[in-house]
Formats: sequence, C-alpha cells, structure tokens
Amino acid sequence: MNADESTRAAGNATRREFLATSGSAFGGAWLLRFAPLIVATQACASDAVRSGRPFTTLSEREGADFNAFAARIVPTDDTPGAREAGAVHFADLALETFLSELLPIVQGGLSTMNERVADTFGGVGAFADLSEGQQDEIITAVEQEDPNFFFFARVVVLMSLMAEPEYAGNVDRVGWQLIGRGGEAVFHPPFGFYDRDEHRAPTTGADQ
Amino acid sequence: MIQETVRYPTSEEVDFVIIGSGAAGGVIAKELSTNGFSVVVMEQGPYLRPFQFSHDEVENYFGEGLDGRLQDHPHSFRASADQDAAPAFFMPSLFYAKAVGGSTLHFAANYWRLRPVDFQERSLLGPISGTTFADWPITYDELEPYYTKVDWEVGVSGEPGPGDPRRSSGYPVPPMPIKSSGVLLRDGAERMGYTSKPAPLAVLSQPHNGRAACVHCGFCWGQACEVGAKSSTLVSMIPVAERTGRCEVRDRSVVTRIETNAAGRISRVIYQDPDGVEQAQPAKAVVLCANGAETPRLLLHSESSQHPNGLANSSGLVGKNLMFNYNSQTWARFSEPLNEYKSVVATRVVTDFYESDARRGFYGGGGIDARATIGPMFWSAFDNPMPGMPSWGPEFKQQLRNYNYTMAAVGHSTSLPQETNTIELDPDLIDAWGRPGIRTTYTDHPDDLAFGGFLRDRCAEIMEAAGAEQVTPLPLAPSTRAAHLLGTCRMGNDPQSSVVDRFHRAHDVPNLFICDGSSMVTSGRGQPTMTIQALAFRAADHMTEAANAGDI
Repeated sequence: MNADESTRAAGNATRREFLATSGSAFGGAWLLRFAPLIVATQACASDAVRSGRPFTTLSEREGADFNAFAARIVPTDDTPGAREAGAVHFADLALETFLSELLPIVQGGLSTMNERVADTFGGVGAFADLSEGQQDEIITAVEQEDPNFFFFARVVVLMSLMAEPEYAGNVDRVGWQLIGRGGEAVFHPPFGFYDRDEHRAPTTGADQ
Repeated sequence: MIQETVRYPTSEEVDFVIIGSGAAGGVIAKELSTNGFSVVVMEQGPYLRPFQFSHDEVENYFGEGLDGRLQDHPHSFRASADQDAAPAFFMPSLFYAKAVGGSTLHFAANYWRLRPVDFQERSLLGPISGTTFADWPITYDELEPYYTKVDWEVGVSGEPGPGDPRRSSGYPVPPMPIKSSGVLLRDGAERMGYTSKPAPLAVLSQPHNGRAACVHCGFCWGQACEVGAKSSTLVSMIPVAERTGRCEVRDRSVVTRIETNAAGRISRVIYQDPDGVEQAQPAKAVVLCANGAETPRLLLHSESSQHPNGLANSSGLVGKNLMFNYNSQTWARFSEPLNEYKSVVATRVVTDFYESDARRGFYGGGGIDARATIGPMFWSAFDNPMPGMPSWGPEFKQQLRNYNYTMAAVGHSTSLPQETNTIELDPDLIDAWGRPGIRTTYTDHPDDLAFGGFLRDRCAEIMEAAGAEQVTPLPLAPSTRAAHLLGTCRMGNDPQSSVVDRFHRAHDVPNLFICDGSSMVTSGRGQPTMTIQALAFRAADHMTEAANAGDI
C-alpha cells in the first residue's frame, strides 16, 4: 500500500465519526459556552457565503472591504480562495467572540485603509470597489505602513481557511483541500512517500 | 467511567496538599496516595476527560481550551529590567495548560533523559561569565532508577541508541513508527557522518498499563489526546492516585496564598473554589508543583512577617535563573509528500551535538529532531510565510500547497542560568482571582544564541544532504515566548545559593516541598519533562520517608 492508498484506507474515519465512536458529544469548555452560536452559524455558513447574509459584528462596509482584502491574501484561481472559504463570515464571528481583542485593530485598519484608498484613487469609493490591481497596490502599501493591522487581518484570513468549519470559515473544507489535509483523525503507516518502505511489520496496537 | 473519589472537608487537616496536577504534581499525588497518605491536589483549571478533547485549533489556542483565557491570566514580558514590560496580547508569552494534567496534556511528549554530564557540567567546564552556572546536588546515577520508573509507569516508547546514558531497563513499548520526516533526518544525518535514533516519546506505540495505543491523529502538539495514548498525568498518574481512595483532585481551585504560622511553618493553603468563594485547606505539608512560573509567583505572593521577601526566599533566588531552552528551526521542502500532519510530533533525533565543545568558542549543547508541521491553522497563520517569500497573493497561495511537502529540523538546546532572567509579580496586572500577574524578564545568554546558530547550521546541512529542494533556516530570534519554565527555585546544598535542598524541601520552610521545572539547576538540552517527572518520583520517595519518620 502506498502512502496515498493508506490515506484513503484510513480516510473514511472522519473527525466527526471519530468523535462519535470515541463517545464525544461535546467539545471542551469553550465549545460548550458558544455551542448555540456556533450551531446557528454553522447551519447558515454556506448559505451566508452565497447569499451575502448581513454581518453581526462588522458593518456592511467593513464586511465588503474585509471580504475583498481576504480575496487578495488567498486569491481564487482554479481552486477556491479565502472568499469561497467564507473568510468574512469567520471574521464576523471571531471578532465578536474568540478574537474580540482584534476587533478595534481590524476596524481601525479597514478605516485607515479606505483613507488611503481615497488619497490614492480619490473619488472611486472604498477598497472593495477597486480593481484587483488597485487593491494589490493598496495592500502593498498597507503591509509596509500599517503592519499591525496587516498582520492580524491576514492571520484572521488564514485562520478562516484552516479552522474547523464550525466557525463559519473553511466552507466545504476548501482550506484543507488547498493544503491537502483531510478531516481524518485516524491514520496508519506508511504516512508519506519517504517512509513507504519502513513499515514491514505492524508496530502499533492500531495495526493489530 | 468517571468514578466517585474521596472528598476531604476543609475542616480536616490532610497529610499533603499538592498544588498543581501536571508533570510533577500528578506523579507525586500518585506516589504519596499509594504510599498511604491523604492527599488533596489543587488544580486551577477544569477536570476535563479525554472524550472532551478535540482537534479544534480555534478552541485549543484561542478559546478557553486548555490554557485558559488570556484576559483571565494577564502577564507581561520584557527583555531586561530597564524596559517596561508589555502585557501579553493575542497569544500568551508563557504557554502552559490550566487543567488536570497540566502541560502534559498538550506537550509534544519528547522524553529525553539528561546525561551524567548535565549534573556536573560546572565542575567539568568551569565558570561562565554572566551566569550562575552550577552543578546539581545530585548525580545521574541517583536519578536513573526514577527515569526508569517514568518509562514504565508513565509510559514511554523508544529504543536505546547512540550516546544514551546508562539505563537499568529497556523501554516498555517500542518506538513509534517512523515518519517521512524521521527517515529524511536519519538519512541526511548518516550522509553527514552523524548518528540518529528513534525519538523517545511519552506516547504509547502499543497498549500499556491498561491504556490504548496511538491512532496517529496528528494533533499532539498544543492539543490533548482523545484516546489517552499520550502519557499525560491525566491518564497515567491521576487515575491511579484516585483509585487509592486517598487522593482528592480539587479542580477549578485557584490557590492564592500559602499561609504560615508564627513558627514560620505552613499551616494552610488559601484558595478560591469554583464559585469564587475563598476556602482554606489545612495540611501537614505542602508540595508546590505549579511550574517554573506559577510556583515562584505563588511564593512571592505568600510573603509574611516571617517571610518578608516571599515564602522560602531568604536566598533571594525565588523567581531567578529562569531558563527557557533555546530553539532554532530550519524548514525544508521535498519533492514528494511527507504528510507530516499524521502521527506524533517527532520520530527521530540526532544527539551528536549534546555535549559542549570548547573548540566551538562558546558553551552549549543540544539535540535535533525531525518535526511535524503542526495543525493546519497554526502552520498556515503563524509558520508562514517563510523568510524572503511573499506573505499574500498567488505565490503565497502556492506556498500553502507545500504543506504536505514540508518539515522542520528543530534544534533544542541549552539556556544558561542568569540571575537577571526572572519571574516576578507584575506591579500593574491583576488576574481574575486577584493575584498579581506574572512578569517575565528574559534575554538569552550570547552563548545560547551562538550554539542555537551552530545547531541550526547542522540542521540545514542535514536537510540539504537529505535531498531537500529548498532549505530555509529561520533567523536566530531572541526568546520571547516559552513553554519550558525552568530554574526559578533551583535545588542545591547551600541555602545561600539555592531555594530547595537535594530532596526538594525548601531550605527556609520545613513543611514545604517544591518540585517542578523550577527545581532544575541547568536547563538540559531541551526536553525537560522526563527529568521533572524523574525528580518527582525521587522527591516523593523522600517525602514518604520523612513523613513516616514524623519529619514533615
């Protein structure tokens, strides 16, 4: 069995099945506290991406600009990017709850970014209204001149791609698909290409 | 099944109160209760069970998760005493779990023993400028039987290899199956003329002591194990302690002060119960195992007329000589998939550079392991971009696709003890229980950085030799965050230059024992938990002898 086959063989055990078989109906303390919010968010996350559901934390303007920002950090090509992952809806939830300390930084940064947009492309409107080339020009400047905002906003975008889909990002697991990490939680050797010839005898209880 | 355990009324004096349920506290709770003593374990975090753990990186890193909420545990960091300390924001500067099991819940589980040289290096090498470099008051041979107890009772997988110190017994279970990163480290090292061996890990490769084997889920680092294969004290020690019927684990119980009587002896421990109500638990003796940051914080905050500089601090060394273990990283990209998101953190180590070598021109020693990239969220958001690569846009997206083709060779190495590196009470921060926040002051010794650079260069040449398409050594950064919290209540024979004696009893307070990372005199080479637990087994033996002799 090569590495890819081993992944597929084990791949039927998704995280959810794994938790179910290991007896878990719960996450940890945090999840319990926010469970209703997350369930509600999860239920409509995919719909939200497609329908442009209004935001609860960000204003409509902020949401549109963050969405456009996210789409330039991890752009859409032949595979989905941050926009399709639902980055803005992850941000809307995260900045209200577990990343609330970043809300002033993100809101302030978006506002400052639009001042830069006005200074650079006067009269065009907000960041989301620019062409992709113009947006890239603005982001290039923001990365240099507002590094605090850029760092944290970028972190939120990347978290949105790779977090559990319960948090309204990683819609249809597009982030994990991008990097090639499935939702499986049980694996067997061989794990990868370079250890394919190393496991002639079973060595773990899981293999027996 | 969650069983009912003994409950002691706070009106009743117990033999021992143990503060902290982690690496050391869990071991000592098991040993003392098994030896017949009544024990209350105070743990500030919740008592979570394995089925409550998840692979949720948001919850584990940014929720209440295992480390608690940052706003409840404010703390600060500065490089030197002439700077203002910056309160931690977004991420802690000191990483430790606040739950039953402590940081053994979310550690990477590397279980390296110290070697004989670690205990007597000061005598062998002489003094080092700017440091309090000292010998330990014990030898490797004194500690060896307890290392073996850790192997068998806590549960360590491995296989003896080159450079290992003397062992009185083999490992209870074989090493974890090698990952692609381990193969590449092994083969690269061989091509360079170096040796490697399986990484000793506190993760079960086969069932042992009634616990299940690892299922290779890949979420060891920073996260807790749902199947109990990682040998946290939550699954290895605490259940044994509770089954004696003499050990009560009091979770969500935050100790705020240790009270002493007119004779200077500890009378009781003051804590807030889960409802925020102040309680007091009397005990014949207290064992402080709260880690190298929490332990000195509690001692400094427990000052009294008999102990005006803080409890057990006549030496002035409580909180000083903090050591982190220096850490350097070299990332490497290969042409075929490694799939490092599977299984344990590290499966192979190179320890050819363990001993310091005067010919290098600086002090230092360490080991290299082949590391999994950690969870996808943490890797994407914080390990990228690599130096010199774009941080956004199409090229950045292409870098993300390297996830399965990437590994890190990580150098783990010495930190020299310096009195200027400290844990203190922050004058401005108060935590959710009214305790002063922890203020850390830390600057690496120049030799720590120099050796980190040496080891990083070895990592880079090994990755090149292994055939990497791209090798990216990360810049040597000053240490500003840490999970290894060592040296802040060092052990020694001289009460002027140490906080606890060779049996972990505080020089100043006869019924106080301190055992955790704070006891370590030198830093070792980067994986301290094995040694902390061996010390804990040994300390518990002596506490037992002392208590049986009426000497606590």
